[in-house]
This record gives sequence, structure tokens and C-alpha cells, in this order.
Amino acid sequence: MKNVQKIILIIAIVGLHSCSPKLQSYSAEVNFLYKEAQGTIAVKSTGYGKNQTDAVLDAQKNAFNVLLFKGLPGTELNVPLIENENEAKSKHAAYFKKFFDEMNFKTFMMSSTESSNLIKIKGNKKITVDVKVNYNSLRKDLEQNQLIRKFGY
Amino acid sequence: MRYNKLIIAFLLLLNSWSFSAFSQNAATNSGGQVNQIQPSIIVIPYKTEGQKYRSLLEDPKTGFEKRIAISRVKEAFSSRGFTTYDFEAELKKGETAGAFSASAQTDEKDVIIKNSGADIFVVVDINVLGPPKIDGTDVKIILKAFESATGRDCGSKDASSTPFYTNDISKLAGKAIDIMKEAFLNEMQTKFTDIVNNGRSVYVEFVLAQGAKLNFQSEVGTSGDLLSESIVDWMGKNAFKNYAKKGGSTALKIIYDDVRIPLKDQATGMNYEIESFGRLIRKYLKSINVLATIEYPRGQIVVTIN
Repeated sequence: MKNVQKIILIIAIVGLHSCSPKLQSYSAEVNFLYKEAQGTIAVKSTGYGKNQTDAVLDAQKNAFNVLLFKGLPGTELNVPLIENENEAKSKHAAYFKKFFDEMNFKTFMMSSTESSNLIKIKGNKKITVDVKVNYNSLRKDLEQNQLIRKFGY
Repeated sequence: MRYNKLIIAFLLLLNSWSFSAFSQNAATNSGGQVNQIQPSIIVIPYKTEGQKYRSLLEDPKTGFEKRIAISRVKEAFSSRGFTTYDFEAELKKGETAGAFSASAQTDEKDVIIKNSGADIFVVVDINVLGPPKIDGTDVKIILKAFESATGRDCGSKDASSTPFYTNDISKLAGKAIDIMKEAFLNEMQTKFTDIVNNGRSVYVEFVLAQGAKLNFQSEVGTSGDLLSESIVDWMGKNAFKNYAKKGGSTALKIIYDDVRIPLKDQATGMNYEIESFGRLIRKYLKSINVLATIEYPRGQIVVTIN
């Protein structure tokens, strides 16, 4: 009987743990490149992966992660588009699943150019990609999906 | 039995009447949906004390620069889906109403802010540098936003177009504003977020009416507290998140220069107006047998103890 109780307790703990929002770490190796037109920004982003496709995708995701949750000092996006990463990710898990896992972020990516060769590092590969983002339309999308408030209260 | 039924029917009718008296009208019923009232913003040109707006705007040399700068800042707000009050329309309204007559002692800026009812005013300062001081033309712009009621800073940025060999001030002003507009709007939005989370700031002043029977040192209520002590206790307890910062007080005045009130009624979710907080103050004072009148000049609460 005691064993059954233990099993139930373990299942409950594992269940609760899996319910908690997971914050995937991402690289902050994202640097401002240039601003061409109002509402757009180009950044140089570094990505890691087992092969070129994975590394490029990682670089693109990193660029968006930094713009969304960290901000880029010295640019128009010096403050992140989303104020509270933890809260937003737990409240709007479906949005981020669609955004990152289902590649919805690509609808805000105006261009993506590999600016370095694939470099081998310890058990992994690394690449640098120049990513141009339409952050005006990204902000509008965040507003429409109520992840952030429109300008004002 | 029949008599009881009649009483019940009468009570039900009375209840339905009392509910309908305070419920939303069928014609305007939004099904419980509440839209947050947004702050109103006016963009005004910088001027020194005593300068007249009309002559600033119509100055043959610099008037166009100022009009362009205002227009560009308004555009920046529009790009975020926010409509501002039109400064020239407000100026015209004031002129038509004779608010700027030579005998009027108040500054034009104060009159415009007061008459427009704007919660936030954004001051645009433009300076154009050209030959012989520098090669080419450089437009420098400073933007500053303030809360009308409290004068609290809501954001400040400056930028320069950098010198260009052109006389197109409009383009250069646009360039300078483009450089800083996102950062400026982001800074304002950060302040708005603080307001959403911690409440908006209200200036509250308690003054004694001429010939008032009480003063702030009079004992009120049954607990033996002085009026000033009762006010301090109540304000601390009832301000949003208990934030009531006392600015100073004299024998005739108690000033709170930063009292936070919520944007939404925490019980009903409806928009919370400054008058609602004023009403609470008046009712509290009445409960301790202190009669008061309340006025709301430009987003402030002035309580006059009679």
C-alpha cells in the first residue's frame, strides 16, 4: 500500500513539474547591423546545431528571442517587445509554440543571409546569419494576440 | 396566503426596479465589456515664458519648422495607433473663447493644457543650425512628455539629424524624430505600464475654507485623533497599493503630491475615475462629521474643509 502511495506521489510531482513553463535558453549573440526602413531592423545572430540547417534555424530563433525578450541596447528596440518573458511564455504558450515550433516567426523575417561558414566547435556546429526583421508588424501581431498592450494604458 | 404572495410580488418588483436603476441601459449595454479609457495627449511647441504661440507658429522664419516638428511627432503617435489632440485647433478654441486676452495673467501653455483636458502634454523643441555656424543644415529636436496633473516626467529624448547640404527642414526634422521616436514612445509606454501596474498618480490637496470651524489640529471622530492624523491614516489605507506620498503641509494645507489610484475599479472592473476617489474622501470626512467640498481642477483633487 505504501508503495502505491509513493508511486502516486512520484507521478504527481512529475506531472506538476511538466506543467511548469520551461524556459529554453538561447544565445544572446545577437548584434545590431543596420536599420534600413522605419519599423525594420537587421541583426547579426549566431546559431548552433548539429548541421547547417539546424544552426541557421537556431540563429534565426535567437534573433527573435533577443528582440522579444531582451532588447538590443543602442537601437530603437533598446527595451524588449515583451516585458516579462516568464509570464508571457506561461500565459501564451500556444502562441509561442506556433511562433517558434511551427515557424510562424518566419512571417516577420524579411531576409536571412548566412554571413559565415559553418564552423565546427566541440561536438557542435556554429554559424552566423544576418537576419532582417519587420518588427512593426511583429509588434502589431503581439498586440492583436494580447501579449502586449497597445500604446497607452 | 394571497396577501403574502402580493407582498413577495411587490418586493420582486421593487428589487427589479432598484437593479435596473443602476444597471446599464439596454441601448448601451456592452455585455460587461469594459474598454480602458486611454490617456489624452497633446503635442505643443516649446516656448519661453511670455512668448505667444500664435506668433511662434506664424513666424515667417521659424514658424514652419515648429509646425513641421509638431506634425512629425503627431505622426509618430499615429504610427502606434494613437490619436493626439490637435494643438492648432486647441489654440484656435482658446483664442475664440478669449482665454488669451492681454488681461489674463495665466500663461498660454497652462490655458491650453487646462482647456484641452489632455492628461499628457508633449513639448517639442526644435533648433535649426545652418551656415555660417556649421557646414550644411542640422536639425536638433528635444521631446519631453509630462503628466498634466502632477507634472511628472513621462519621457524625454533628443536627437540630431546630423548636418546635410539641404534646406529641406521637413526632411531633416523627420530624420531627427525617426531616430528617437521609437525610444521615446517605448519610454512613455514603460511609464504607462507602471501606471497600469501601480495606479495613476493624482495630486490631492486638503485646504481649510475661510471661516472654517475646524482646523487640522482639531479632534475629530470618537477616537481622539486630530483631523490631520485621520486624513493621513485614511489616505495611507485607501490609496492604491497604499501609496500616498505626502508633499508637505502647513497649518492651513495638507498636500499629497503623489497618490495612486487604480485605472480600474478593483471590485467591478469598471473604469475608475478620479471623482470616484474624491467621493470616497468626501464620504469618509462626512463619517467623522467633517463637511467638505471637492473640486477636480485638471486631474487633481482639492478638498476644502468647511
